[in-house]
Formats: sequence, C-alpha cells, structure tokens
Amino acid sequence: MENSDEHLDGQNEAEQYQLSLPQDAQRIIISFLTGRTVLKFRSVCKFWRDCVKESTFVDCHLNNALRFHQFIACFTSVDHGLVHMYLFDPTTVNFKRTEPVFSSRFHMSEPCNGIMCAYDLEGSAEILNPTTRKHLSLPASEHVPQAPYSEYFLGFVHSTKEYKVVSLRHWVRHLTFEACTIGTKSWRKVHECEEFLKKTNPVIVNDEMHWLLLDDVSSNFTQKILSFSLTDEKFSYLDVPSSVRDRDLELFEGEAKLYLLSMPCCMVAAGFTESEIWMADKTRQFWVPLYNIPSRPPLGTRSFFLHEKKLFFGTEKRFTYIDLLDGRVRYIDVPPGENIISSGMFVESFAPAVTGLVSSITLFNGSRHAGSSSTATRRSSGLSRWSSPIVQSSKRAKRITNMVWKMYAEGTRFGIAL
Amino acid sequence: MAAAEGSDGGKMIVLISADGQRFELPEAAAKLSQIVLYMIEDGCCYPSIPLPKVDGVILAKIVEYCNKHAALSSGADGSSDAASERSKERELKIFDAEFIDVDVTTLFDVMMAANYLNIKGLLDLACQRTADLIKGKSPEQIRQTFGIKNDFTPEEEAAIRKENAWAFDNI
Repeated sequence: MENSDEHLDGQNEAEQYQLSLPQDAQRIIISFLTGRTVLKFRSVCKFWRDCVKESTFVDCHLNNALRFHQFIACFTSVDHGLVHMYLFDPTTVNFKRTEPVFSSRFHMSEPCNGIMCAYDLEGSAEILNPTTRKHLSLPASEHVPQAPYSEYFLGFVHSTKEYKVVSLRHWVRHLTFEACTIGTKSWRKVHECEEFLKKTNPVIVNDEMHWLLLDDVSSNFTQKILSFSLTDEKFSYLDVPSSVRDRDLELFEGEAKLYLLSMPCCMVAAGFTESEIWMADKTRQFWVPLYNIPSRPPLGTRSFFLHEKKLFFGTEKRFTYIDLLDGRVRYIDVPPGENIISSGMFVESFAPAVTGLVSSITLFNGSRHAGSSSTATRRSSGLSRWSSPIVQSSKRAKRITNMVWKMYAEGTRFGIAL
Repeated sequence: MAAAEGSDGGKMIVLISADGQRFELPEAAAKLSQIVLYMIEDGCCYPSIPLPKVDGVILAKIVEYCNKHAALSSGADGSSDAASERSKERELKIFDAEFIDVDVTTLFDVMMAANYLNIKGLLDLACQRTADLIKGKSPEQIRQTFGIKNDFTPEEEAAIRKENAWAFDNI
C-alpha cells in the first residue's frame, strides 16, 4: 500500500471524474486483461506501465491467462531472424492471427507459459517471450564444451515459480543432462546415462519431463519411461502398461496429464491395426485406456498434444489435428518457405519475472541480421533500423489472415471415442 | 439466543451493512466469503456480523450471489450425476452473466466489496467483466473510467507511444 498517499494526493484531481479505484483493485483488473491489451495500456499511467514488472502480478496474470485466455500456437521459422507465430482459438480452433517473433535461432522448445527456449546447434540459447518481445540469453555451459549436439527444453516448477531449461547432449546412447534455472548464471550437470531415447524431445507434464526408452537400438519396443522431476532434479523410471510392450508407443501431454499412444508395430502381424490412447494416473503407476483409433495417425517426429479431445501435431509443413470425437482430421499447410519448429498451448504472459531481459529492438540493432552498416547508422529513427528483409517478412506475417483448416478426404478417420 | 435456524434446519448468519440494513442468509452461503468464514470459525458471528465497508444496496447483491451459488453448488438434492452437474453449471453461468450485467458504478462497488469480503468467485467475475468492458478503450478513456491521473512526462509518453507503435501497428 505504499502508493496510498500518492493516491490520496491525486484524489482532488480525480474528483472531476466520477469514480476512483484504488491501485490494488486496478492491479486485479489489469491481471484479467490479455497480455497484449496490458501492453497497449502501458500509456495510462506509471502504475499501469510498471505493474507488469512485479513478480506477484506476473504470477496472478499468468494464472488468469491460463484459465481464460489460452491459445493454440504453431511456430514456423522463416528467415532473417524471424519466426512466425500462428495463433488459434482453443475452443473453435479458428485461426486468430499471425505475429512475427524475433529470433535468430532456428530451433525452439515447446512453449511453456507463453515463453520458449530458442537455440542453435552451436549451443547458444535464449529465452524469448513473443508477447513482450523480450529476450534473455542463457549462459554458456562449462561442463561439456564440445558437445556433438544439444537440445533445449523449457519447464516450469510450480512450487517455486521458477523456470528451468534442461539441455540434453547426446552422443549415440550417451546422454548428458544439464539444468539451468532462469535468472541464474550457470548450468549444473544433473544426470549422465547410457540409454536409447525413442525421441530426444521430452513430454512435459506439470513439473516432470518424460522420455520413452527403447529396449535396444535395433528394437522399436519399449518397456520404460525415463522421467525427470524439475522440482528436485531427480531421475526415475516408469513402466509402460504390460499389454502394450509389443506396440509402437508415443508419449504426449494433454491438459496437464500424461498420455500414451499405442500404435500397431510394423513387425506385428497385420490385422491388428487399432491404435489406443492411454492416460496415466497422478501417481504414474496406473494406465487407463481412453480412446481407440482405427488406424495409425500420420504423426511426424515433433511433439504432439491433446486439447479438448483434439490431438494436435505439426510435421514440417503441415499443422494437423484429429478430432477424437468424430474421427475427422483437419490440417493447415504453412506458407511456402516456412517450416514448423514448435507448437503447443500458448498464453500471452509477462514471464519470466527475472532481470536481464533485452528488447527485440536492442537485440537486432547492429546484429548480423540488421543488414548493412548504413542501416545500423540510422539507429534513432524507429523502423529504419530494421533491414528491409525483416520488415518485408513481418509485413507478410501481418497479411496472412485467412488460414482455414482443410479436411482430409471423407473416410480418412482416425479417431473414435470408446 | 443461540444461532437462528433456517427453514431447512441449517444455521443462519446475519450481516449488517454500513447503513444498518440486516441481511439473513444460510451459513453455507455466508461462508463463501473468506472473511465471514473466519469469523464463523472464530465464533464471533453472533448475534450478527457488521460490515461497515459495504453499503446495503451492494450487500443485497452480494447476498443474492452467495445464496444462488451456495444453493447450486451444495448438491442439496443429493443428485450428483454428470448431467445434473452440467445443468447446474449452465444455470450458474447464466445467473452470473445476468448478475454482473450492471452499470459501471455498481460493478466497481461489487468488485470492491468482493475484494473486502474475499469472495474469490465473485471477485473473478467482477474483474473479468471490468476487463471485458475496458479492453477496447483508449488509454485516455481508461484514465477517465478509473479516475487515474496521467503522471507521465511528455518524453516518457512519447517513448511509450513509439514502443507501442512498433509492437502493434507499424510492423
């Protein structure tokens, strides 16, 4: 309440208006606005501009956004340091809008509370928030200076409200896991092991990351799941249901629950072609079969996710969903020249509430993507600091307004509820 | 006298508004307010609970909200199958939408009262309604609606305008 005196001082001037709301109430109202609207209202007064920097506000706004303003997002890499974000309404799945996201890195984790970890193969990574257009460079790892290949994943620890990035460096079956809490300056090695991962990207459910393990390199079969708790940074193993151990399995997330898709394996005799979706209970000890799918869905290598009984997945050029209630499959092809690099549930948030974030403008100003030096010298005049390819790509992003879902030919049905 | 008893045998709680009006409501409804709940738990709710910060007109609205929500969420009729749950949910949704469709002054008063009484559902409802009302307005209209003084220097305002233009229009 340190602002109450200020508030009273302002009351004489405010009397010409009919109402005057205390800042506590204003803060609550602001926390119910979408992230973009909050940014639009930065110019109301200093309080409205600055409250997005308070960590309690960031948490409160995030909770409301997760309850009332979720989106389905699909990210495509374009070029010139630009990523396009396609947003869909989660209930109607109608296309809402496209927005340019600035990042010179071509790989991206799945979104988590409205932020992502973008990285390149040289091992440089950043956290970016497409709503605030702010970036945070992650420290370089000291532990494995010459990693053959590394990937980065982003998760949220609910108890401490911290974000953690997990990096996975893999060399055949040798895996090194490192973790970095966003806002801290260093990586810590959390695990090393010899395992065959079916997919390198984990399925993230609440505070846990899960990977399916292959029995051995020549096998398609799996009996165990490797799990990492973001809270205590411990690894553990889970069993998959014994009845599906001779099947081709995939894990996925849906509305904070862990699911397993069991598909017919090519090695198993034809005839038994149904796929099944299983759900894990909270303890991860029991699995319940939920849906039967008459055939094998055309999944790519990327992660997929369930939302309101629709299973979404993005292959390189095509964003698809299966409606598990009517079995229909719909898809959207991304524009030529763009590749899907990430998809998932998205909110317009102000996370992470840490210091050290840099605006996209600053980041691209004078970077290798800002074009010729003559462009860089015209720094003070807003858009002129952007090289023309970025502006053009951005304009193109703004023009894409008519993306509609196309349906697979009648008869191509993949899902039927049990 | 000990606690008054309602028609269905449940305890009744009496709330007194700032202007001295009496409101009697079932304990289950009154407990939706975190503040009242604590007072009931501490046993300091008899013979009545004075609420000096809430006006009678607004308290009447609050009591209406609590009665409806308590009645529909308690499952008093014992039927708790999925279909009746859904129809109750629908009924509450319709009630909420009509309940909160009020003028801005009343809306703000309800919001302040819900904040003071700590009624989470009602506070969410009122704040969401307010957020919906203001999301299409201009910053100047926001200042007028909330009685906010523009405390920016011209330079600060220009800086924000430039940043917003970059974020929302020009690209």
